[in-house]
Amino acid sequence: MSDEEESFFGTKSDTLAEEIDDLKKKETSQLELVWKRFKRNKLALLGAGIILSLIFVAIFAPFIAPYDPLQTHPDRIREDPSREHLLGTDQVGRDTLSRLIFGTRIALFIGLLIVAVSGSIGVTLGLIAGTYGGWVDEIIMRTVDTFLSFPVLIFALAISVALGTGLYPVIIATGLIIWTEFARVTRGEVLSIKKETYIESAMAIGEKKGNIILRYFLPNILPSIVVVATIQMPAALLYSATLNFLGIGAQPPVPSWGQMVRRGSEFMQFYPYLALFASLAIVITVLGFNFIGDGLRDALDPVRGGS
Amino acid sequence: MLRVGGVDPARRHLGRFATPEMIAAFEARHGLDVPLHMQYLNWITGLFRGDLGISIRYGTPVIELLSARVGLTFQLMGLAVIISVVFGITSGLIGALKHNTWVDYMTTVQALIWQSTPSFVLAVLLMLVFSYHLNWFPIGGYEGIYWLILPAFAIGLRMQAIIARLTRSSMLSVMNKDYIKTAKTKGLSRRVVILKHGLRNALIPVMTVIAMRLPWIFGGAMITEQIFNIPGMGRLILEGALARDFILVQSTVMFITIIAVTGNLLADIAYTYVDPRIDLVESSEEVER
Amino acid sequence: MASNVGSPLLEIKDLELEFITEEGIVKALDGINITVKKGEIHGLIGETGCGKSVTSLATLGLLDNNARIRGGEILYRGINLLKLDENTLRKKIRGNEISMIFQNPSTSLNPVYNIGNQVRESILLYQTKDKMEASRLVLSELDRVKLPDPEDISTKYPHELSGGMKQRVMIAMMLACKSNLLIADEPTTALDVSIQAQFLKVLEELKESEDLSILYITHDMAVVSEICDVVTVMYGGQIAETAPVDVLFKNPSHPYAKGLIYSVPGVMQSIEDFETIPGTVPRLINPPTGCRFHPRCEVCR
Repeated sequence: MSDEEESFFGTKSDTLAEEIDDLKKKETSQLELVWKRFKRNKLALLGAGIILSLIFVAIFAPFIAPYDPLQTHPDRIREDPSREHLLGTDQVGRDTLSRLIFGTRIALFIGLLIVAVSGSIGVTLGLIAGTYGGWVDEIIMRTVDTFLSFPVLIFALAISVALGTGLYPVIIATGLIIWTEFARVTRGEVLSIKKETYIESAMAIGEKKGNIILRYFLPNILPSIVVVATIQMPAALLYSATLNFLGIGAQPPVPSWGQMVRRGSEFMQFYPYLALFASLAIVITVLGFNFIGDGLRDALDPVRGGS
Repeated sequence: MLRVGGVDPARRHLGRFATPEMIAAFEARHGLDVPLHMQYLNWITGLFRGDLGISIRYGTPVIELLSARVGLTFQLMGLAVIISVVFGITSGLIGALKHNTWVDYMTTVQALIWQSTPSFVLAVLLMLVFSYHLNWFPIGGYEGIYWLILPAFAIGLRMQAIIARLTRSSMLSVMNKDYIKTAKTKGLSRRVVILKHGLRNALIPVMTVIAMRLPWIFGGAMITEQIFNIPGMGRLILEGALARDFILVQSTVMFITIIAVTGNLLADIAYTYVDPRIDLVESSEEVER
Repeated sequence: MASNVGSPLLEIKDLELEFITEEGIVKALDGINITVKKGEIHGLIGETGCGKSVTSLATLGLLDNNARIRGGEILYRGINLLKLDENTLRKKIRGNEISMIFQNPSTSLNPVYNIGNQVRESILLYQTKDKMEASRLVLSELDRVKLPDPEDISTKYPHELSGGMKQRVMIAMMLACKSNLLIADEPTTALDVSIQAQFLKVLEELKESEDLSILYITHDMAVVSEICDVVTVMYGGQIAETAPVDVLFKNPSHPYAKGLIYSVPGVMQSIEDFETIPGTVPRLINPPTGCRFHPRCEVCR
């Protein structure tokens, strides 16, 4: 007479929940391993440092910026960097440094929203595809393939023709196109969880699929989603900056880096500083996320012949 | 598809003072006076006839606008591809051969930097340095192929980063294969082993990637044309989009899609050529993976 | 410098080889001695992991970066190969004097070039610089290994051929190098038994006609008994015994060799008579001292 139940599944634990628990424990130790590997990567740490500082800047912008970003000084147009204006002023006399600082808010905000939108779409589709399988999966995967080959910029542009040139249409437009990676990864995770536990059998027995998704899949795939989100940030930032540059998205006088580059390029022949500093802001931010993203990818899959 | 915005194009274009007759005439001219689904039908049939509608912004047939500029954009894209291939494969190869040394590290970092620079930033910076400061290149406009070189670099430098990374990793995995051992055993020179046996195999996935990225290159062309003031197709669609000239944009988008599909097709075909193991029927499954 | 039949071609003396791995140092070869004479087919037999492949790779300088030669020498016609630099090794030895064929013919041929191209490579390197003549010679080489319809085959790609045919192409490629010593590293392990038989026949005929010396590495006793003149038995990075083939099979002296010979079931034997050697092959990170077989050896117990 043993205490262990010989259930139909032949497992020792008597509930599915326990199995999920075991899985979670295994994953936590895996997580620690990944974290250790990540920490070893110097570039990744640098990236993390950059991004954390940027987040700090974004949050505390009003306290850090020396001037009001919207305040114009008609008598100080396009001044070279000086002690009063560390990075110079723009074409209507606004302090570039302050604009860049507030621009951080805009950039990160837009980036996050885009990632949120694409994440929602992608994760939902991925969950459905993975959980239901069969022809639902097929259809969703075909859609992924189609969207994958879309030239993002062009379609974002096209969509904004329809929706307008404001901020939110741009976010939605971009989000509508870059969700594929989320879907792919989520689906993969779901499939591997399905393989490792007996969820498949539970589903066969009749637990409502919706329940299963919410209670079991979602919490376990959360870390992967975070990882994909981090990796997608650079793309989101690049597209939003480009669209801003083209005049779509954040409208002046809201300080967006892309738009600042645009303005700056118009007169960069004799005043290069605006374009230069705004460009640097963009590159450093994206680079930071790219470093982290690369570090994460290497930490998760160190078999790659990477440096 | 693009109509969802619902803004009345006639009003917008003609302005506030448009009279009903003007609006009617406008609508008739652009084929907007029939219900939506009819418009779509007209457009599709028009496609086959070569009639892509009349641009709202320019007032001239779209097809004319497009054909005037297609060549230019293709030249630009072609140049960009050449640049990215030359630089990308070379640095990828070097990175693979000097694997895990500081040269390799530099290549990776350099690739990351290019990947983090948006096209427009790159274009602007290139213009700043090479056109304004160094005066090596003209500032904008188009009068010959030389005017396309700097813009092509703006696109190509980013693309080469992707190619470099792919070449590097592909090369590394190829060099571990048995047939490289065989080649060495035969006593072939290092150069032959690397180039003839190694690179040839390593480049197979690279080619596919290039073909698939064609639409992306077009996107880059779009921006570069805008910045460098080149009258190409990219700029056309951009301005069309900004002016909400959806007739123009519609057709151009269609065109791009065709390019994308052709790119895919080319990739499949090239793949068959390059890798004798694949035959055409299998390859479509391969690429879909 | 003419070598007569019977004079030593390849002499491996007291070779010691280590691999540096993440888990520690693996002593792969612990002072091995092998001599291959001209004109003989010398079998090198042992279980997986005993060091046979590593020996051949060391001869041609094809080892991975984490390998270290700790002692001994490999003499080919009197020259110590270990002392040669990469360039000389490549120009003078590889292909020219010593060639090698590998276990898996499917991965050993370059998939993007056709057969003719790959065989022609060897010919252009070692036989003639004339492209027309080289193409002709390709056909004769392919014919020598008894491949049907050489013209057709030379236009085909590796994936279009069967395993047996690919392996024969490998021989053709290496023979075209006009080398004196062929090292065959488990060439038939990936092939069907019937194909294997054909392959061995080809090898035998080549030995007769070309006076080819072969170092034949395998784990298959049956193959050894069929075509080898002399056999060396390896275990755990050491040599267990070396003897002419009939001597070994009739009267093996080393206990491991004995166990090996007797463990091959004859067709008429019943399962009960089937003898095995107790225990398993030791990991070479921490090998047993002295004779590495002694923990499993019935004589030593």
